Amino acid sequence: MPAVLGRTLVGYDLLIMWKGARAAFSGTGDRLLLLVAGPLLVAMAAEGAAGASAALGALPTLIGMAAAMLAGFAPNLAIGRRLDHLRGHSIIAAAALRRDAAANYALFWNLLPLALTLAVLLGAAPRIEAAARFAPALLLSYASGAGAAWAARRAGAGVRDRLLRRRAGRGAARRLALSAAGRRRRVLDLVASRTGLPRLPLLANLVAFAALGAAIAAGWSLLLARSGLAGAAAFGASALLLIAAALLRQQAGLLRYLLFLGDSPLRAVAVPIALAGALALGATAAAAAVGNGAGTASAAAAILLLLAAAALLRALHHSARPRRAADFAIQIDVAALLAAAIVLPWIAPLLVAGRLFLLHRRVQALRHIVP
Amino acid sequence: MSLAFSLHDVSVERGGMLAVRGVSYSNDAPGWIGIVGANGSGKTSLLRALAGRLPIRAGRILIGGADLSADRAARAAAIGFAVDAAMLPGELTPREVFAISARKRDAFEVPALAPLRAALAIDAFLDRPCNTLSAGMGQRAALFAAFLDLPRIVILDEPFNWLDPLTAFDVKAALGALVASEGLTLVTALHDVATLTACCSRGLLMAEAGIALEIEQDALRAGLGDPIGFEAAMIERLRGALG
Repeated sequence: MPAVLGRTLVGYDLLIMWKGARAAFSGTGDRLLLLVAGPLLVAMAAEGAAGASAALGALPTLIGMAAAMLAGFAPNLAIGRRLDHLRGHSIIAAAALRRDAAANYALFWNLLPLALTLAVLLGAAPRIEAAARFAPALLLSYASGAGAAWAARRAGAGVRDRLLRRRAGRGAARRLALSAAGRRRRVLDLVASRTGLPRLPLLANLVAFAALGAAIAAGWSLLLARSGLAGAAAFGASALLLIAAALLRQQAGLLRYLLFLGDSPLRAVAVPIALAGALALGATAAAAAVGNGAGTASAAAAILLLLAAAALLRALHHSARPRRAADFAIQIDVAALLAAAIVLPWIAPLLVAGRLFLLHRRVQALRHIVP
Repeated sequence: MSLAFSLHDVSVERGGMLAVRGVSYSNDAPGWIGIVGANGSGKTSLLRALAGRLPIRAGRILIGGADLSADRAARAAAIGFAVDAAMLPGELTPREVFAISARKRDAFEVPALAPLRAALAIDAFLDRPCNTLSAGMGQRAALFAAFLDLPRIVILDEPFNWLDPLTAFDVKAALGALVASEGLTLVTALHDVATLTACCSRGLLMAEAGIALEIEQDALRAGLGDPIGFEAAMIERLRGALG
């Protein structure tokens, strides 16, 4: 891919992704893994799309619209953050600061998920008239989700600035000299405020996530009771998993910083796992109150285990590889483990444990040469 | 020909505080402007705002007579700015970084930049990914990228950090020659008074988010005769400004 393509914002990102992918699969072992996992991934994606199409066809339009709104919200938050970085710190700041270039950039990265959503929709409703019936509602929901993301970013920046001004006005410079326990608590609060809700210490974040879990479970139970939809409980559990994964994804920079400080991978991911635990606990408590506690508890425990394994996998990869290479390796590992879990579900936990053990051993070996 | 710039009551906010408060300064001749000051005195915020990387909260910024206060994109396009070396995309090589940074196809090969390119010795690591470079190598690549297309104003924030003494010496000489031959305005934040007196044609002393002192060329040249005395005087002035 010629470097001059990188002069446009989209080209710049694509060039970095292309070079990152090449770097991630530069080793023979990595290429072998890709060779084995690649076809499996394509087959899984095709099957997943067909399944999603079927599920979408069976779901009420309201749920489809909620999903489309979420699909519009999440990527636009990420696009906004990326644009901030490109404007302030990159070699193509002049291009990123131009309104037209930024708009084209946002449009491009929105068209991708939109195209995927529409492809799934067409799979679900192959007849043109059916697609025409659903598409406008989903597009509108997607657009409102995207708009909400940009509005939330703007409002969030305003709130953040006001909080910072208030703190600066108070002259609230914190003490730098802390006891070991105080330092540990400060680091935990820092991780919590950057992983969960911003500007809140660990305890407040735990409470907030428990409340969020309870609200999701209560809302879902209410919807379930009214609609009587078959298989809706599984859909609810999947939604909880997606929300937890999206909210609690630890920033790679923060994760690498903790690992660099000497925290073990397990300790580095302790906060997001604890927040996921609070979310699961809140959901279970709310579900128990409406008489669906046992089912929710087992689903929440499974979700928690899954998130913990994924977080640990991520921390171990980031301990041993450059950032982008780690990102690619994680995706391949997750896909390979998912594929294995579908083909051989009864040994999936063993495979996950085995993979984590191997990575842990690799990281331990590296610690002899990395101070 | 140099491109004049002027700042009128410029304020910049960072982290809820005014990092730069009501700064005014006019530059209408080419030369090397050195800015010294304590940590947190607002040097970096001022330079990043001038280069469009930060918005200004109040005031006006004029470049070449045009009011670009609200147009960060135009400021970023008009001014060469060396990004933090740690922000170079790790997957790309310096050659790719230069190809992306430059608007002109042959910007990398321009004869006027040959001495700087030699002083920075970037040919030795041109095709290595940036995430495999040392901090000094990354700094050298970031510095060179700021001069591609030969913008009339170039801003470098603490450019000699991470550089070994030999490279730093050669780069200072190459920058001085480039400013003189091409009529550039080079604005650098510095942390040593010796470089200010030896290399710069004008100086600014920053303290408490403002300009505490403008140092003219005559004072800098006089400082060359008594570098220790000049440094002591600057430090005293800085202490006084910080209270």
